[in-house]
Amino acid sequence: MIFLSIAGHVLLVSGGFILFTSGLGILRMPDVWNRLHAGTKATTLGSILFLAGIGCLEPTWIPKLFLIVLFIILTNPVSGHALARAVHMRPEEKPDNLLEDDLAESGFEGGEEQ
Amino acid sequence: MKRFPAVMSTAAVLLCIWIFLTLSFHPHELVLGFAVSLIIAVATKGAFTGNWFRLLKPARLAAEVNYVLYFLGKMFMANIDVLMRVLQPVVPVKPGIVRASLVMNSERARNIVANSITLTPGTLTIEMTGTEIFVHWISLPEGDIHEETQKMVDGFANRLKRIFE
Repeated sequence: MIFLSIAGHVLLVSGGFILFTSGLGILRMPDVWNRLHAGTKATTLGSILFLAGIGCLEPTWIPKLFLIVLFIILTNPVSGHALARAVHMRPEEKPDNLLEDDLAESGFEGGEEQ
Repeated sequence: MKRFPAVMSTAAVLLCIWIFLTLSFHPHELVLGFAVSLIIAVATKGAFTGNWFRLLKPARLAAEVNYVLYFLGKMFMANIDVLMRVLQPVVPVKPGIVRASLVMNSERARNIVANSITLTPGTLTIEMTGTEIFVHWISLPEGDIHEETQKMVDGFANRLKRIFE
């Protein structure tokens, strides 16, 4: 039991730390797409570690926590993708520091493709 | 009743969620949960799932476990990568959008590839056309960027093809 408790607290702290760096990343990254990197990736692992920590401390909650983790993994990339696509479709919001931009060259402007 | 397997898959998934949320194996709970999930599954005609029972075949199960492990490993690397970047005095970014081809015969598989790419090292899916995918790199890879991007996309696509085809 003491082992579970220690593991739980370690997971809670590391999850919190990763969530913190995610927030820091949103502040420090130079443009909107790089901010999305911090916002989608780091929050996923941070939340998962945090919930795993709670799972270690309260083992009876594990099934519910598993559902929450599944929900986060399924929805987080979708929201990030929607935001990234919205930026691309508004040229005036687009960052100008790209070293390579195949999307602009392809002339694909988004919208319906069927 | 061509949609019968799909309807039953929806019902099974919903019943699992019900059990996870109630955490009770009392017969009353189970019967009520089964009734509710069956009503929802029939009302939606299984629109949200295909025949998911096929995913339980042993050969596919191995491919699925392989994919999940690969994905979790990559996701962990992605987070360490972003973390290291954010904590440096000057955030090192070399952003760029690269095109890669992605041909899958299942919309659901394409969706999974796009979402997996968003959650893995330094990459974010921005746009998809019928056969192509546009990936934003936080820092462009060394060497030929198109080749590297294609390799990364294929890493997911080939593993998924073993499940879906």
